[in-house]
Amino acid sequence: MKILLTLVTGILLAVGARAESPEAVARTFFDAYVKLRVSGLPGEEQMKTFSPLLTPELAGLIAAARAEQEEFRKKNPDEKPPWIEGALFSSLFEGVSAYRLGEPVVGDDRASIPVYWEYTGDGQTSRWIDVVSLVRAGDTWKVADIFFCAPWDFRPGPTLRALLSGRE
Amino acid sequence: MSALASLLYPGGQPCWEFPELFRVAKLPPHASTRAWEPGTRLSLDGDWDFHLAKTPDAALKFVESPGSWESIRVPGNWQLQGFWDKPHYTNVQMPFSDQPPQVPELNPTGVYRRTFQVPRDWRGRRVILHFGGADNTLLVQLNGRAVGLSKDSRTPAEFDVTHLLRSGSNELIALVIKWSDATFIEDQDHWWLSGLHREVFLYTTPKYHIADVDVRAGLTDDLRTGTLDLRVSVDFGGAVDAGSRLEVRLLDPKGKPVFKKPHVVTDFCNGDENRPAWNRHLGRVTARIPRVRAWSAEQPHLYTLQITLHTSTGMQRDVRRIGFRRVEIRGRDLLINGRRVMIKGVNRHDHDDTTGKAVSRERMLEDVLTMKRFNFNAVRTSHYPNDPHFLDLCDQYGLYVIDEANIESHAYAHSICRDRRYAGAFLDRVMNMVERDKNHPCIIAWSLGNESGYGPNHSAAAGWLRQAEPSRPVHYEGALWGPDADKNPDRKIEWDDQPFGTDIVCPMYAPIPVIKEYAAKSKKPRPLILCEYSHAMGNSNGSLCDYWDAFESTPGLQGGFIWEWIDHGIRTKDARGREYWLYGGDFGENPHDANFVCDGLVWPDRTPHPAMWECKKLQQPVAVEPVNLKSGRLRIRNRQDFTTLAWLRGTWEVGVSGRVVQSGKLPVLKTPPGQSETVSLPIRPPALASGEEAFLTLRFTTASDTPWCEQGFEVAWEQLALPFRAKAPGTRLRQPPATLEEKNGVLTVTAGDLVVEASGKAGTLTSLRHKGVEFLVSGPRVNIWRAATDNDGIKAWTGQESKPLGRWRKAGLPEFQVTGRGVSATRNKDGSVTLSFQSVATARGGKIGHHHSYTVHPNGEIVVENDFACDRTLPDLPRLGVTFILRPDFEHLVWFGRGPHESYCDRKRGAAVGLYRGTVTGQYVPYIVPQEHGNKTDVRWMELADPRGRAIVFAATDRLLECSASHFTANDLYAAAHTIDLTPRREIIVNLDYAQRGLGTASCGPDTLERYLLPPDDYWFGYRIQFR
Repeated sequence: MKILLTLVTGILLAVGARAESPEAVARTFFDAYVKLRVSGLPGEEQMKTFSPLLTPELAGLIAAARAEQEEFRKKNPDEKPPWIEGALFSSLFEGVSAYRLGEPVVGDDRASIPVYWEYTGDGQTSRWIDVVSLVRAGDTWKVADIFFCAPWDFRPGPTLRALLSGRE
Repeated sequence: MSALASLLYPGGQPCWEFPELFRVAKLPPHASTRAWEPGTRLSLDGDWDFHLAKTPDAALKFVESPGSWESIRVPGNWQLQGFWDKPHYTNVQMPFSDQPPQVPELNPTGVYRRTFQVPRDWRGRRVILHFGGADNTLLVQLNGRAVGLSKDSRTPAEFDVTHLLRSGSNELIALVIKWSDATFIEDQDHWWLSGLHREVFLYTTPKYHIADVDVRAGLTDDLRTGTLDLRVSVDFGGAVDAGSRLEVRLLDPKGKPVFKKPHVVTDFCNGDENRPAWNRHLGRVTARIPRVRAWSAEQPHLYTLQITLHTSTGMQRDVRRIGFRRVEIRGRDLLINGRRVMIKGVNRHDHDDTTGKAVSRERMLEDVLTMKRFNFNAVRTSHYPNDPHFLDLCDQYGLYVIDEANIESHAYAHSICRDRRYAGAFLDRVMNMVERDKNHPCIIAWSLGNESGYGPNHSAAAGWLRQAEPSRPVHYEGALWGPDADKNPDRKIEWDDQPFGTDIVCPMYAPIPVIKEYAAKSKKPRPLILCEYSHAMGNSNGSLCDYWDAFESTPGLQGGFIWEWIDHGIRTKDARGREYWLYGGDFGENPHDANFVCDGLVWPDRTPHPAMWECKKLQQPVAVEPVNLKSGRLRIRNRQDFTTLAWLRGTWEVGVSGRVVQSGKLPVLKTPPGQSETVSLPIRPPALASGEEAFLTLRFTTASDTPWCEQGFEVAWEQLALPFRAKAPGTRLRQPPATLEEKNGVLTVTAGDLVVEASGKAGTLTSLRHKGVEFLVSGPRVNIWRAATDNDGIKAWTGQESKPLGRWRKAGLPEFQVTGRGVSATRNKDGSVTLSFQSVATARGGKIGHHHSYTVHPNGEIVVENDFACDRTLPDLPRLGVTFILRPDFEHLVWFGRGPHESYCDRKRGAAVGLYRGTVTGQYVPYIVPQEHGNKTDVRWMELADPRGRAIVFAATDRLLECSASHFTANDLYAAAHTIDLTPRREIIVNLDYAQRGLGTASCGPDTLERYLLPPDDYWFGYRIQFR
């Protein structure tokens, strides 16, 4: 891993020093996600942590989804609104327990990082990979999307953006 | 008149029917880069204005007097973004009847428009407009001025737009014509999808700039010393700019400088011997790097090359990652870094089920991670250079690549390759590929294209390659057949005809005996690597294990590339919101090739098919062979080429009937690549009850995190049956005898809590009640039919007469009828009662007599025997066995046999024997065209239980069973064209088979081997039924 970090660092140095690496941003994001045990869409308080780490487009989609959720709740007080529960930021609805970031793939203004997830529940452990997509934003990077890549057909959708924009 | 008119009709001739015209004002191809200096690149991806015209002329008119614009996402394909032109799929045949180079008059043409502002600090600098890929013919206009034209849809088109830019808003228009003369050489097996499908951006360089970088990073004969031959092409626009210099730094994989001080080049020579250019000069650096860390797919060590150009017009930096490795052919071996590397490959198209040919980087990364995790080590970029980002990933994560030129003239395979009008385009496409991708260490061979016959146009391209880029072998399947293949298609395969066109004997779908014969008899030995094999359409990849046995035991055979990676389904939803995937013909297009586009190892959402586990097992880096199992001695063989086994940790366990009775860790293995070591495990003879077996299972997991998997990830496993047997059979308890009654033609046998009923009229059992609970909906009947797999025959196609499905249809197997011919009962001396039935399955092509008997023992166990007598007039059978229909409650499934995924007699090495649990519903495998699935082989027993634990158990007697349990009948599946056509039945269909036919790969390639067939003959098989 040390070697990989150095490698990535080498590339980053080559294209100019950055205040924050995509890996650092992703780590901050997922550390918070695991720690806050977010279920469904993040609440307002939780979004204070996440918003600075997200692209405006993704933050906007979350805000729009929350508004839609509220609207649904008003219109259908007895029904469960969309995106109210589950680990929406990963392939497994049930939740996440721990993660590890894989080797980042950094190019021009975009970066992709594999996220090795683990979830233990009911005595069983599930492991899978998602890929987080980041874009450069000045001196830092922002989470633009999460690609759900687990090898099962009950993923919440192809990507977080697709999920939130109602393609799923 | 629009400036585009001059490009659209050069010399008055339509540019889209002009094969000699494939580039206008397009910059020479050059090596792609991914590391841009901040502020030197401006992405133009995103939403563009768009209009889809019916013809290029109508598009031109629209440009001249625009109407209302719609919006389109770039990169993308317009067919998948709601416009009137729909996706169209054909394989070999062209989608229209026009002859080359003419194309249909209705020729959808996309007009793309967007505006942009050039950053202020780009003023005075050179600005390049880059289109990563445009399908098919691209014409560009900027600020009302014609820019240029390009046709190769899978490599970049770059134009120098410096002099066309203005301050403030710039208007860019791109015209993309769907059909052109180039369509005939892009007749690949995938959807016809059009538009700007790869990224579009502007970038800037100083006036005097790096035009290209050619990195030749190899190894000396000692294979430990790196050789760097760097050729930096600098464009000074004329004479060398005085005082200019290049600085070259190299960082090792840890980021440490390799050179004590940078190499500085101040002498520039006039071009390259293979790339002379009047305004370009070459700066060259050569160096040797002792103790270099060589690149391989196993250990993809990448160095960072930093090139800085200083001229009077500014400074430019180029940063790229390079790898030192050596590719060569010696005799019949393809050597990478001196080792004969077995190619564990797969063919990959760019495909996304929503965005078509525009594949996100994250999905590409997902592909690479999945390939690595399933032990693939190579990719053929069928049938065009894949997105360059994919090659970056292959460099970084370690996959060997055969890069293929964007040439396929399949429908006119033997004519276009000789058509002089297309000679330039052939050469251009090979050059575009090589120049874009030459610096990728992952690329181990260049392919001249696919399925385009062989002619002088190929020889011209091969000739250029051999001189301009001799560091990698040339690969082209068409060259195996020679120039006259079309005149004598039945002649014997020789494969040695045109060695100029290929250094690798790379046939597609060649049967195992044929490749073995070639390896044994060829007089001009070259490595044989199948460019396509084991066609993965639907439930497939039967006999893959036999290919691997051949590869590993036959000198000269060096693996191959499975066809293909992904099902190219297009995601949609029905009116009820159910998602499914569309294939050829679903858009109303004609002609089409139906679901032949869905022939991948992963579904369109990239979920692995069950066959992937077979690939993983066969390609795993470790082999375990018994030396003396009783004493626990095993030979562990390292199947890798460059890495010891120290990165893996081994564990072992002895299992009996699904229970782990002994376990332990293997010693830390340091087995060198290609070698073996012997280990001794402290295995003790386990206590075995009657009928029990013991299995030794070894698992190899990663000792620590790797770039593509986490610590503890299972990379390999092996299972060996231990030679221990139970000492004595168990004894049956004496119990009251079973009773027999007959009333109104119904025979009733009672044994303890079990009541069995049968009638002569039904010709089978009619009731199985245990403790008052009824299990049966209908009793066991002979079954010979399975829902045809794509390999049995493609349901949507005609012309399947020679396929198994054709034979089965001709013999009427899908409509076979079973008639009962009475029942008899016998009281046996041991207290059991035997019910015997005669029935017959009748199809047009013959009959199968079925004698089946059920001996109900006093202990409530039923011993079943089946005798089948098949008319020899029948064809080979899909399956032979019996089908029960159980009540819906018995949803919980447990079996002891191979699993957890489906397995078939010719695809079961990737499924270990074990105790598996699931649900009947969970056995469904959603192949895009519904077909046979969910089979289990080598089953010792299978149990179906209700939520209260009441269960029926089917257990093998003399011969292990093949079984399945499903909510679909074979005919439910056979009648369905898409997954949404299926409605699961409540009841449970249980198949117990003597055998099912193997899967083979006959949808495109050889059928399964003879030993996996089920010829019409006499067969016997038995099983026991127990209740809990």
